[in-house]
Amino acid sequence: MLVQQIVNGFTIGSVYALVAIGFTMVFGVLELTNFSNSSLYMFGAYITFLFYTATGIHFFLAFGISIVLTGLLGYGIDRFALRQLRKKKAPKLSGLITTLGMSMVVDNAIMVFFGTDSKSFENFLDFGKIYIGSAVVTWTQIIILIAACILMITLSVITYRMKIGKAMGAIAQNQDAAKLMGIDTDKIISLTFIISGFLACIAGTMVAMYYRSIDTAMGSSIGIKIFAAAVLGGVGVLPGAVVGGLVLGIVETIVSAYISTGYRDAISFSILILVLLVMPNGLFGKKAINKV
Amino acid sequence: MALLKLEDVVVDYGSIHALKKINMEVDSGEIITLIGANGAGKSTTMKAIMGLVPCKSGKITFDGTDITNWETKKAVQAGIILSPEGRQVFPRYSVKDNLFLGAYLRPRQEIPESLEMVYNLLPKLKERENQVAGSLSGGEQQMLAIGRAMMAKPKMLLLDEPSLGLAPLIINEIFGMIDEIRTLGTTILLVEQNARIALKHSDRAYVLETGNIVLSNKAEAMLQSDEVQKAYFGVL
Repeated sequence: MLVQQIVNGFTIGSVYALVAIGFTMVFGVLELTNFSNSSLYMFGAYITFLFYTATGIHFFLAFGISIVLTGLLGYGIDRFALRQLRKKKAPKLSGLITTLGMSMVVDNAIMVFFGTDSKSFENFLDFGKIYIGSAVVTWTQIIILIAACILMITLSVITYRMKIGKAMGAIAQNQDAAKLMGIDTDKIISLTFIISGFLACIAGTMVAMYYRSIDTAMGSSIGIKIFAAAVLGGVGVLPGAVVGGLVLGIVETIVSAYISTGYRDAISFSILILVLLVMPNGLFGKKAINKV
Repeated sequence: MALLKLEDVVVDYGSIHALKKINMEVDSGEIITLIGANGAGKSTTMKAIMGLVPCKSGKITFDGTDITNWETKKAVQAGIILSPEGRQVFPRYSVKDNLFLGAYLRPRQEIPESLEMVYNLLPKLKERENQVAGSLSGGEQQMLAIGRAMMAKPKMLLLDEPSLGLAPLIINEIFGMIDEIRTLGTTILLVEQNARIALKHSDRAYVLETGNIVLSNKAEAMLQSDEVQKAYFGVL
């Protein structure tokens, strides 16, 4: 029973982690809380659904198109709204409110276009299940976990090993100095938004398959969780988002199974608050003190 | 022919006129100092050259090319590198990573050579190459900032207040290094409040006052000038 819950928790936690990575990368580069991230997650799932059901193309082709379009939406939010604010040296709060507004626009556009009723979503990862002791692990779960691992490793390599990742870190530490190195800061920032769109779309579509349904509340329900996951791990730090997402997923499933579904969010957020009281920067967060 | 030329350059910050039609020239191989009090427009001049602030009118040419209002990246590509005021190293990155970022636009195979050149120029940086930049002392951070700029292999190096907040001994060391950089064939434009030492190490100088160039002369002549002494050396 416990093993079963941990497997379930890992699955959903790895999805939280994926979305949280996108969120934390944007925060890391711009110190901007991107509230539109959860809308990208929902947008991705709905666009996959749309292309698959309306055009009859192969599911994974629809998925691919959706990944590209969600990345473009992420790019658009930065290019046409946030970059303009940066140019005018607007305060950070303006950017934050803008992402909140963008999130509402996207969420409501989806509601208008698709309606508010939930839609059933086919699971293309359903290749049966395997038994480990008394626990049942579905192939869907295994594939989600593998996909999440591959993505997390890829992103870690990009962030910590590649030149482009160094540039992202440089922008995070000092945008003007980064420009003086010849870094095209706008391009790198756009890229960060595109990656966060990709991740949100992949996560959203995988969860849609896992639960076999999508509805217009899926964005808002994950929004607060990825925020919590990122803060728990230490916002702006990649491994923090991963661990934060996994911890949150596991705690949630275990609380639902052993205590009550009703207390699920209350207990996971209590844990978040307790962790932050002891470690204000999150589990992997760096101290904010920098000698300049 | 002048390597860098500013003609009637005007920069406004909203209603504040930061630069009012300034003209200056830097020839290849020179060290030129721009002196002036706080708010005279020294840093603004540097930023305008780098495309960090827009020029409202006027013209900046580098190596015969009009670079007015170019993107910073293009100016860097052309070979103009600014080591900014307050050093602005990347505090969470190691010394080595800071240096690598300085060579961001350069082909990978040329980097080891430049790294060696910088380590020869600044042996202290090599000792600390794996240390986080934020943990260095002020003088070491300044050296890192200059080393980072040199990693870009500049034709023209702009140094904004390299002596800021440093002890006299360290300041001498920094200026010794600036002389050495010139022998490597790099032209230098220096902004300084510490006029005396800056003039000792330069060929010519311009004096900037509230957005206007009020004086330009050979550095030696300026060192002797009563006017400059009164205004900038605190001599009565």
